[in-house]
Amino acid sequence: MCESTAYLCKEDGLEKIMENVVYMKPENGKVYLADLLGDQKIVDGEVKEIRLIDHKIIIEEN
Amino acid sequence: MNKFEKRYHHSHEHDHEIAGHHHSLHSHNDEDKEEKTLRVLLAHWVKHNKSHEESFKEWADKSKEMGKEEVAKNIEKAIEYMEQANEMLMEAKKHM
Repeated sequence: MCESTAYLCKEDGLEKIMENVVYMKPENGKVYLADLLGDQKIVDGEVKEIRLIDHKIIIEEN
Repeated sequence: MNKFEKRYHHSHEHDHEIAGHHHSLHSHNDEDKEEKTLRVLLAHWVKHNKSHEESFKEWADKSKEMGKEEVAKNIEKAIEYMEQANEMLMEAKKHM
C-alpha cells in the first residue's frame, strides 16, 4: 500500500509499531506518528531510515 | 561506435531534425534518462498495483466477514480491473 509501516530497530530485528502510517514528524529526539484513523504514537528516537519503495519507516530508539 | 556506445555516450547537445520537426539544443542524455525512467516506472507500477491488489483482497475478505457482500463484490471487481491494468502495463513494457 501507499501508506507506510513504522518499525523500531531492535537487536533481534525490526519490531512493527504502527501500520498505515500517513504522517511522520521527527522533532527534538522524538518521532510523531499518526495512522489512517488518526491514532497517534510518539517514540523517543531518531528516524534511521525510510525505505520508500518498501513503505518502511525505521526508527532507532534513544 | 556500437549501438550501446551511441546510446550511452552520445550526449552532446546539438540541433537535429525528426520527421521535419526541428529541435534545438536537444540532449540525448535527457532522452536516455526519460526512457530508463519509463522502463523502471512500468515495472514499478505493476509491482505497486500488485501490492494494492493484496490489500483489496484482504479487505474484500474482511467485508464478507462484516456481512457486506456487495462491498466485497465491488472490491473483487476492482481487483479484476487492476489485473487488466497490469496486463496493459506489461504489454506497454514489451514495446520499450
